[in-house]
Amino acid sequence: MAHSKQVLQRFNCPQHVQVDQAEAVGTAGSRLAGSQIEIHLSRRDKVLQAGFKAYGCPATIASADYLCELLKGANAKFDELERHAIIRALELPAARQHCAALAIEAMRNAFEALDKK
Amino acid sequence: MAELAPVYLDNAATTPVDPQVAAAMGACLTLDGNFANPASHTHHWGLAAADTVEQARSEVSQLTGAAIEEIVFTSGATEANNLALLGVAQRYETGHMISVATEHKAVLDPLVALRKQGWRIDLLPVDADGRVNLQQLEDTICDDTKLISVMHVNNEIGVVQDVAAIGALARERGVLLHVDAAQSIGKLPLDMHAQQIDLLSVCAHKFHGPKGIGALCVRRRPPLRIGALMFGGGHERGLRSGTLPTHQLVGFGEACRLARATMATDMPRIAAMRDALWSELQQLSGVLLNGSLEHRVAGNLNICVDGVEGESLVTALRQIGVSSGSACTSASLEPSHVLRALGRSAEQSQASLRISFGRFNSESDVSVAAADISQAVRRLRAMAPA
Repeated sequence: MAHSKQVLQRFNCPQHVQVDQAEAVGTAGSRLAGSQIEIHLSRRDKVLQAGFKAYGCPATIASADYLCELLKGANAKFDELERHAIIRALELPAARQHCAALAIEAMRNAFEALDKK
Repeated sequence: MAELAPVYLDNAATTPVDPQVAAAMGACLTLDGNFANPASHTHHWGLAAADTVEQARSEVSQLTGAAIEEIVFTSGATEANNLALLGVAQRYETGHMISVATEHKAVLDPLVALRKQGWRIDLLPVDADGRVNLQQLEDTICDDTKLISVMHVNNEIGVVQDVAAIGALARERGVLLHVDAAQSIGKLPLDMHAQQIDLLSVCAHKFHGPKGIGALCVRRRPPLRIGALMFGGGHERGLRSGTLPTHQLVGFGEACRLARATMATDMPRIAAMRDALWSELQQLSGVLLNGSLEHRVAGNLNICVDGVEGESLVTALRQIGVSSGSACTSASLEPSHVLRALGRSAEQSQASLRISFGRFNSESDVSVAAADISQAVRRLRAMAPA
């Protein structure tokens, strides 16, 4: 299946792959199911730092990368994002929209973990 | 630095037409060429086309061991497989057929249709190497078994079945044998009579001929009668109606001629490239070969790569064109039925690559492929959760 230009750009050159230890991690999916996303969050002066790790198709990796871009620098309470924001921006077709939902689920789990800190 | 030209390594999907094949085909299209309907016997254009078609039939005959009158031209191997299976089924009310779990969909899907019509279908498992167990095949044959259908070379993993041994068994038990040789024609020696094959499916585009042309070779001695699927003119002795496409047949014939001339030198060269790439890829950890290396067609390499997802791996390859065994088209993955039949887990099957070399690949393509695959695997593994 062909991917949109936006998906391919983020898949080929993701900007937000997590390299360091983060304050909180939220996970969704599993390798066995074919895709897994980790969203890593940290707070610096109430400003979010976000990164990701992902195993999955190009749309999964692009969804995680775009989500981190939206989260980075936002207010620490910024957890109202919906999957439609990712679907629209990356032009995900119906068969790939679960990738955006997976990223959102990982993000919510990450905020939950962050709130407990 | 200038970017290297991408390398085509998906020759098991289809091959580029050999320039000599294209030239022969080009001479059969226009008014100054051999364009006419081969069934038009009322003028010299038609007679010339008919003569050209029979020359092509002779080339197919020499590559397959089928007699001239045993060759029924079709649109490709899928149609040939359908004609073989559904054509045999038309002779009986119902019965039993045996095939293999790793067959191409062009065999599995007609068998599903026959099952709905009341036929009993057994699909044999394969061993970890991808080969059929002959004893198990023999044990599965019963009084009601009408046909065994086995592919010569598997399209995904390139594993070669011992069709001569299966042919001997089928003949001894009085059961018909159909062989799908789409992936072996032009690459391995074929002789349908020596191998005791009753029905042989072949096509042109897997060995540098054109797409859209193939044949079913139907044994004539003793005569084997099957039903037709296509009606409208009684061409090909009533088994496949429709105007014969002269240019396609000429391309098929020329591809057969070239294969006979080059097989002995091409196949060892192609196998050496495949072996060199496999040797390079083993430097990466977590790479498994799917199917036997010993019983394998020359150009095929099929691997599972641990820790990466298949579609991402294929998308990350910048320098080579290959096939992947899985696609994330829904929330759940559907791994290749062939890899599952080998005993690979769903997780292992997620990232498989089929890399297939052909006549126009060269030794330098091996290092391009090895570097591209290694770089993609390392990048994706670094991005994956621990």
